[in-house]
Amino acid sequence: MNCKTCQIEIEELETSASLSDAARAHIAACASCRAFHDERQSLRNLVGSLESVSAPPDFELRLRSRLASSGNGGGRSFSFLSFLASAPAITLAASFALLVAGVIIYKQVKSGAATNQPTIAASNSTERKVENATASPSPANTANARESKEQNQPASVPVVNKETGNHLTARNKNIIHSQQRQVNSGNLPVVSSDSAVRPAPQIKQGVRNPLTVVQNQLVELPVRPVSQPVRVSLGDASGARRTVTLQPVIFGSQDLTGRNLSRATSSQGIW
Amino acid sequence: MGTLTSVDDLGFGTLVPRYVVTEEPLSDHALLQATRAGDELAFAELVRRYRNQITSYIYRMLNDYDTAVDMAQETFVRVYQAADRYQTDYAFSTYIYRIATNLAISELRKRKRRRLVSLTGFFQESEGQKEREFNPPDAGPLQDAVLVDTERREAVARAISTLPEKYRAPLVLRDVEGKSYDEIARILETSEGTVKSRISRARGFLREKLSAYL
Repeated sequence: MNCKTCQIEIEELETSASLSDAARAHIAACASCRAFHDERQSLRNLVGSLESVSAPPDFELRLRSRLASSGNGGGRSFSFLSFLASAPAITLAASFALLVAGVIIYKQVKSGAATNQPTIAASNSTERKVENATASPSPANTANARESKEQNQPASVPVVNKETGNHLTARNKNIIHSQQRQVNSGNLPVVSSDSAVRPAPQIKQGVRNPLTVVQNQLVELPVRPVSQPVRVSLGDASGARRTVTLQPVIFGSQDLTGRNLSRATSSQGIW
Repeated sequence: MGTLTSVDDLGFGTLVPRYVVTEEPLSDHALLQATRAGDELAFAELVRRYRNQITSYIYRMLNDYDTAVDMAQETFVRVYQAADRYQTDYAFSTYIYRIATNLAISELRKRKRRRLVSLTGFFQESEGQKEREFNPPDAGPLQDAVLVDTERREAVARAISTLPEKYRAPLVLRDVEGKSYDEIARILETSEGTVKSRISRARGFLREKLSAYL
């Protein structure tokens, strides 16, 4: 055996194995191979003297929580039920919190449905009124009314009595919000038109018009959507008339129409 | 008064069976199959068997205990999540060491990219540079042999942590963990010859660094 073969055998010696007889004989005779052997042996002992470290005591607890948190992204999901079973207090508290939250949400949804129902019904009734309200059927009005029918868009503009201005504002907001909810729910198409191209429809209140204004009472006149200015003429029994122009008021979701509609703030009108 | 040699000597009048039922410990494969079937106790047993080995191995690779614990946990998370895809072609220990090695090497590469300066970084040399010896062995006699051992072990750990990653993993697996060349080759997914060559190179590096202790 030569030195190279001997040193390879020393180098690749398995931990539990021992050198061959030929290698042992060579080491006994060769000083350099003996030095190599001793050096490698002491180096192995030195590296092998490193103590192994232990995992911390809370290793499994941390691993468990880590598995639970990574359960959504991984291929396997860690059963969270066993963790809940091991912590009944947390389970009970979480269940109670969920129950209370569920009751609150249910009550809110129920009360919300109760308040919205009359508004929607009123809005539907105004839709029927708009056909009757076109008392003088000029060509433009007829076309607008037909278009309004086709588009099936309920809209309403409040007629304001001087004394009831504040009440009207709040009511009007409710109506428009209910219309926006209908539009957003996908039941109605979102349509807007430019009043510079086509004049706003005129709604005249005649004698035979079913819309009779009672003092201190809110009357809703259905018109096209609020993107057009609306002129409302009011007359009393003595013949005095007053015309009010209502500028369109844009509310949040109407921006989705993509048009550059002029915005009217509350300071620009009685709204 | 006579000496009690058996529970029968207590004289309760009942026969106590003299045989004990011993449970054969389940193999790693069986435990992983049970884990696959949803048995979390089986997985807990696997964790109990390997948590110290894996933590220690990664610690020797990174020389950072907190990160080693974190990586060891990540190793078990991956074992758990990939339990369905586990092939029983080779030993489970090979499988889990391979995951741990990959995680440790990717952490080392991350550190290299970030140029992370750790506390021990000041005492480490970059590859190819001469090591600065901050803890030279004291020539004078020390009273406490424990201090000598501690100092020597720290020097060895630092020397290992300065090895390039391709030499570090096989050396730790071989000389610290005591794995065979065959198993190391399977863990590192390389040939046995490459493993032997890398270990020989690693020992050469260590011999230079630890010449004062040899």
